[in-house]
Amino acid sequence: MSFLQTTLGVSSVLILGTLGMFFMAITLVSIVVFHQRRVIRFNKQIQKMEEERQQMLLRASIQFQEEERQRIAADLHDDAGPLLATARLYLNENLIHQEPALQLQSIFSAKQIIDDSIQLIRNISHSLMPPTLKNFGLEAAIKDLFDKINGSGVINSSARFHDNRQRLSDEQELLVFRVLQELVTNIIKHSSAGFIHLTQNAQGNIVYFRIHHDGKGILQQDFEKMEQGSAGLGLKNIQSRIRVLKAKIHFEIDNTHTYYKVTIEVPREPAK
Amino acid sequence: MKLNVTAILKTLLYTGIFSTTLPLVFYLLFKLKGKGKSLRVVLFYILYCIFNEALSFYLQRIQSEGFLFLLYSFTIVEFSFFCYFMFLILPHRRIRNSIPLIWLAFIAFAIIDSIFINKDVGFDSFAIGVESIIIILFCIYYLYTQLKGVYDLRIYSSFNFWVVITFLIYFCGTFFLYLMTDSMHHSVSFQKQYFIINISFNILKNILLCIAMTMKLNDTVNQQKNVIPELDDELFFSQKI
Repeated sequence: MSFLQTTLGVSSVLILGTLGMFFMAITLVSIVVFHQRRVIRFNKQIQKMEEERQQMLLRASIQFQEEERQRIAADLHDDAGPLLATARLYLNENLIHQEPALQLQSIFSAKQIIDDSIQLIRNISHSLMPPTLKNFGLEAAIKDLFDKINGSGVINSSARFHDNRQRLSDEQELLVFRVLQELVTNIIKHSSAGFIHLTQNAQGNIVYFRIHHDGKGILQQDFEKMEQGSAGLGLKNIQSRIRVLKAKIHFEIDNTHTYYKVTIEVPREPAK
Repeated sequence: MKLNVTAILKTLLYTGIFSTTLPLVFYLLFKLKGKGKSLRVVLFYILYCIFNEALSFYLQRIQSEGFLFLLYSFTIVEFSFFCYFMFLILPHRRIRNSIPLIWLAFIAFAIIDSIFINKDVGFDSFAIGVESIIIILFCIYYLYTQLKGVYDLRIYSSFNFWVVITFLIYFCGTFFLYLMTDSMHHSVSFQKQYFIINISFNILKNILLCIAMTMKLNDTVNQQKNVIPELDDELFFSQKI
């Protein structure tokens, strides 16, 4: 310091030093402020993209509902409609003028058609809300679904629930069932898997569901790409249901690169 | 001309003294109902500065030797306020826990310096120099944490940020001044420069503190970390198919 003072003079050292330090402080503050502004701008862009994605998911969900309605309408119109019309034909006004044997046969035929209609309507109703799920809960419904798949002989399937003492709410169970149903359908349709295995477990307030299969699967980045693209309505529905559940979904492959796994983490709803 | 300079210096002196009370006025206007430990620390610091300014003005007038004691004690008290403020706002526990140790070390150093080393010099340049370096380093560390973290709010709309830059600018600006005072305080030209620079940075400090008083207290909202817990894979492979 004394060397500087003798060569530059007291005022020069003081003024230069003070100005230097002052500008250093200002520069530091400016760097932090500008950097933070850039980060905020970037975050806003991401937020905007996320909003657009939400919109897309909502549209996909609405589209899915419309398609479901159309399918139900088609089922009712094409199957239940003609069946009931035929039954009506058997039971027309001329029935009383016919011979008793013919009357009996017509009534029997009409009864059979009405039975068929009842079965058809029951099937439609079951496709909307599985009765096992409604009556016995998620574990029974999943096991029932997997038993049916197993029974087809095309693919081996099994489900195991490790800790289902504290069940999810009815609404959550239905959403989880739909997600798992969609995932299983996708695996059957696209993966050429030899087996599907579902495991459930719980840790604290989170319930985990994991599906393993040995077919061609997708990874997290594929899932994100597909649900952002125009294709993959099923995946969009999965994502929108996952959002409603406030859950997380991970698509991975195991370390041996043999099995693909899909894990869903569902937080339990607080008791109302 | 000489009269004008004296008048300007006098105006500067009174502005400097008056500016010390400005942050308190802003506190009463904007933050009277504000709750938060960091705000309280800053408030007590402002009150202490006002008290110190008034007392030093009086002691200088009566040419009391107590002025030197006030000068030494100000460094220690100011550093204590700053350390506590930093302790409250720094996010990392490890750094936060080191603050009491640094504070203790500095207090011990400042006391030893004032009693034994700097006994007859009249100005605690060395202690203030060390204090400035520590404070500047803490401020830079705070800015670094703000740079690294992702926060929802703009950094310059937070109270803590403005208090930190107040300290940063004040201690950067007066660093050389206080460092040289020790050896130069007998020089008349230096005394004038000291007076001008010191009062200018004091005014700047008080203006920045006033700005801080108009800012939001809760500045940061940390992003939640998306941590996936390790799952027991054995469990999921437990059943042979």
